[in-house]
Amino acid sequence: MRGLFILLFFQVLGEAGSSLLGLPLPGPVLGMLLLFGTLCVVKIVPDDLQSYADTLIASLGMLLIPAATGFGYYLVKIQGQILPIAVAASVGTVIAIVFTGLLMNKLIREEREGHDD
Amino acid sequence: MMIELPPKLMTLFSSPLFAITLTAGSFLVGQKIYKACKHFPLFHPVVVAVLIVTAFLQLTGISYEQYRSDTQVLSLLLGTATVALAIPLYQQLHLIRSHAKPLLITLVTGAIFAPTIALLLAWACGASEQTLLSLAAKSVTTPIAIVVTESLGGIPAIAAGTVIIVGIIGSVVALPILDLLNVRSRVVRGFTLGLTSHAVGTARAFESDTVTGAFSSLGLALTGAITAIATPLVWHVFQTL
Repeated sequence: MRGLFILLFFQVLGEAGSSLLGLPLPGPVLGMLLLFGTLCVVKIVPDDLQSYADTLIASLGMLLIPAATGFGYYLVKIQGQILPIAVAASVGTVIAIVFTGLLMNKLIREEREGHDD
Repeated sequence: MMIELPPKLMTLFSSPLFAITLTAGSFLVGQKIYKACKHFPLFHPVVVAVLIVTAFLQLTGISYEQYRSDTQVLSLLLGTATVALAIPLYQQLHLIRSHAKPLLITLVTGAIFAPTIALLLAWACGASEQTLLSLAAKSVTTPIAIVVTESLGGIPAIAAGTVIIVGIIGSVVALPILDLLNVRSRVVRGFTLGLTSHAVGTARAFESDTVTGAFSSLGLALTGAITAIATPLVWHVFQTL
């Protein structure tokens, strides 16, 4: 039970921090960052936390079905928006892959050459 | 395309218990089909599950709003699962140290570049403000995209749908594109897949080899964290233009 409590506790902490401080960060994301920071300090992941986290992460796909199901319904309602969504998803992704791949390739090569000196 | 059902059956169908069972069952079927199709990205479990749920709602005449409110507890757990992503992120810290500088520069630049280019393209094609809001988080893993979009005031369904489509496109085209560009480093290939195509791309990366897979999941987790911080800022700048 402790693992689940830790996750819920950080979720509550994230929600509280996000709304009380008026941060633009979503509660669960702030909770994730806070838990990450805590793990970096304590340097250990308790077994039961690990097992609850593994279960939840393995069910991620299922947890997003309710939101994803709305996609078709909204597309029917806002047909004029299909083109911008399709272009952003396809062309945008290809450009992002080319940009990221080339940038990082260059940086890694520079790093290697730096070591040779 | 609707079936007349006895009222008692309708009452059962529009209950949280049934809606959650339907969701879990559809996902299970989705996983089986995905496996049977040798992980072909187009048959991603979420895609299949969404089609099954949609077909069921259409046949019974249960509204999407009803289904969404019946499954609210799943959305709550989605937040818990997002918190849980801190653990794999922490466990991959050692990978960051091996290539700290290129990873961090690519991460920050890429996490700002990807939503910006998506917003510009969508804007040029006549996207409404609400669509733009829903696309801002498109290259980040779905749970984070949903929570970010909700907090920005976009439509989570558009974010979720687009993210999954982006993942499918990325996992099909990323490695061939990197081949064309003559990018051979597995560190770069993996990180690019994770940064641009999140979980679906990461699954593809692990099919390639474990180094590509490890750096892809690192890219996925780090991009998720950075995008959650950067997207509201990018949106703010975009709005003032």
